[in-house]
Amino acid sequence: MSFQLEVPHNIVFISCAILGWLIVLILVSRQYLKQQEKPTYWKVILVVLVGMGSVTTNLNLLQFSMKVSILPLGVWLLVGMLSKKSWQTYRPYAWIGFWANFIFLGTTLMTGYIDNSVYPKEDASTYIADLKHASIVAIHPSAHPATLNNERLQTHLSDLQSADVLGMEWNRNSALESEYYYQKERFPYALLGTLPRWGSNLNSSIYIQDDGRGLLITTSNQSYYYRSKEPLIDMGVRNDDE
Amino acid sequence: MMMNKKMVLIPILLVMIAVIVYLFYDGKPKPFLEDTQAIKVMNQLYTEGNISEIVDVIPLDSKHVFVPIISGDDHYGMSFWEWDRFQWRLGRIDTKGAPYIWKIDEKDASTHYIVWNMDPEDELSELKYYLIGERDFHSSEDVESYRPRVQMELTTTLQKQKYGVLPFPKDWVELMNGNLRLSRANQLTSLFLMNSPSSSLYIGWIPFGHHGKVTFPENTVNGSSFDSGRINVDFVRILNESELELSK
Repeated sequence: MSFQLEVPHNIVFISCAILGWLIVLILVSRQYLKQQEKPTYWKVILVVLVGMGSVTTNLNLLQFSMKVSILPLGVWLLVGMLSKKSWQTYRPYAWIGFWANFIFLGTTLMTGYIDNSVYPKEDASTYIADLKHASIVAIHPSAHPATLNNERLQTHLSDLQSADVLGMEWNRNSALESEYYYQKERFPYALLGTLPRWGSNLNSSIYIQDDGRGLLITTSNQSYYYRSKEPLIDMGVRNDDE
Repeated sequence: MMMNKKMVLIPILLVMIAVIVYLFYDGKPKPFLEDTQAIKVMNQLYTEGNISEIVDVIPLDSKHVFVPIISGDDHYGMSFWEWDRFQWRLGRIDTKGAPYIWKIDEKDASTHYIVWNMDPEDELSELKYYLIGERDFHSSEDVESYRPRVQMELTTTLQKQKYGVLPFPKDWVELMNGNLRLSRANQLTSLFLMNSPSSSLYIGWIPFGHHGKVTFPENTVNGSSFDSGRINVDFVRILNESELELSK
């Protein structure tokens, strides 16, 4: 049973995985204490792990596609392998193994939900949390001289307005001779040296617009675009008549 | 009995220590080979090269040395050497000196160097290197992405010497390393998502001759090479000026 969507490999993901195993451990311990005839400890662990084996089916729920266990293959295997007497002793652990699939499904669902609330993906400050060592660099010959004022950028980050990413249009603007942006770049500055929010493990490239008031954040599969009323960088004197 | 045990144990221990020392011995690099010695090694490994002269010995760091050479047919070539624990080993020979990028550690662009050795007959005056990233967008129902064009320039003069080694500027390194991190993250997600945008930066070059005119370096390109497979190099493509934006 697993997810076919992007699961963040960060602190939230690890915490939720640990939580899942902790729940399984508690269930096993409770069962163990309850039983009068104590089974062998290492055999219990083995039975739980084998019990996890299952046949899965794909289920589409909301926008996620996930694999859900339906047939307890591992449990059946154990029924076949164990003698009648030991089956009586180990049966509860085999089933805990099977149900653990659903515990992990739950914690994985939780991962996505918590991750999004701890590290909102739409929020620029998730990607730009630390500006201490930030700098800007012109990445295109059409860039005018500009300088970064770290503190000012920090203050303006909270007042950004989200806007639409118009990738196709921007690309066309730079490709057509009749357009103002022909052979120019709409985002000619890169913002380097910033850190994403702690523990998020979010990689992105960050660009600033030629007018100094737009911010583009591009992750491995998605861009986010923001506009600011105030300039985010100090633009040099511009000749608008060129 | 006790004696016997010791007699067996001590040699085994010694052999184990020797093996461990051998495996982890990192060898402080010795000074680079004498010219005649280096030429001998090269001609042994690559007879066709017919190398006759060492032009210079340029260390990149304590363990990597770039050696521009002249081959028997008066071609200007390059050789790449690496310190391998006990000796200097030949990594690669190119009989001509069109630029390559030598990646010491592939994952870290601060250890990547552009190396070249232009044939004087091509009469080049300067080289321009470019960091290029294509403008790129992806648009679908729930994913919208845009990647700006990167076009940065680095000029190196050939007035004093026709060969050289150049590490990438700090800005380039940061952009390239950021890009490498992103494409590694991409590899993880592309297991799940089919249409993730490809993101790649590459290096190109344009050679200039007299009066800053673009000149095709006929004598510097189309060489042959010997590669030991132990080093990591990348070919650098000649760009056409029309591929650049805002070129005057």
